[in-house]
Amino acid sequence: MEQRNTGHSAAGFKTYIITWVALVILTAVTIAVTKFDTGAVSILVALLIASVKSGLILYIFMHLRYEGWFFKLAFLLPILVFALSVGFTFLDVWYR
Amino acid sequence: MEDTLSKTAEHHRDYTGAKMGMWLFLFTEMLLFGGMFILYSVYRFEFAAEFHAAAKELDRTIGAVNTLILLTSSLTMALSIVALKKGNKHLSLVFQVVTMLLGIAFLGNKYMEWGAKIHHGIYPNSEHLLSLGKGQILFYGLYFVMTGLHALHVVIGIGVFVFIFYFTLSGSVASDNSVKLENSGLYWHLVDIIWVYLFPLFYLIT
Repeated sequence: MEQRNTGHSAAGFKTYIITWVALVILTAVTIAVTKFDTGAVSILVALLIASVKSGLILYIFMHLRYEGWFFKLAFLLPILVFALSVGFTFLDVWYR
Repeated sequence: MEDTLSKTAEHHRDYTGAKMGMWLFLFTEMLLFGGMFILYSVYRFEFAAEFHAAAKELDRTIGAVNTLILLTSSLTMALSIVALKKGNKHLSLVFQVVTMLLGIAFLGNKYMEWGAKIHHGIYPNSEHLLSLGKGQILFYGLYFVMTGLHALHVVIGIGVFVFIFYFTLSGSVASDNSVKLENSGLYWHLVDIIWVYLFPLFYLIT
């Protein structure tokens, strides 16, 4: 009956292919960075790039960009739960 | 009466509800893997040197190839939805098959990688592994559990696509009713995201 227009038609083949190219380039950057520097900096950079990559996947491939405010906000919930879990775990590990 | 009911059920579609349900499921998946990532980071913190030594043994090339395979499969997945929305059912089916084949290629690589490790005597509870340090045992334990659970998700994803392929072929998934395809896509992309983190954490940061 009622089918809401999801607006997905807004993104064509081109958007996805460009996103894919960006993801591949970011992967190459991660490999290059971690090859030369093995310190804490490379861990940080690698995780930062991984987060940018997952952001791109979420926002474009997973259509979060076209979803309503509810989906955009709800997504923050597991991130918050995860961040809290990490925070409290390391409070324990560091000050034990 | 029953006839009207089934007819209503047949025509009733709740796009937002279906999406919401899928995202809620994906949240639980994120936290499932999230817990393991916390475990990984705590032990990495505690056994930094041994994790460093163990991670060196992993093959960066196989990891990089598998990353490329999964990223590309995510692309073909997204393209299959675009193709269907544009009314090109045939192209959508082609992209779905390519996605499945890429998933199988990923698993093939994983099989060879695990096979090489097992050949070298590195598998859970193996004599060789137990003779190594505590940190290395933990590293490989996490490696097998996390990449194993991830590979299981890839297997399930391929299984789901077999059904979606059939649904698209039979027309129950179509350009005006594509939520099943879209939700399977969401699942596939999430599996990709998990790999985006697994790859640097196990293969790159040594």
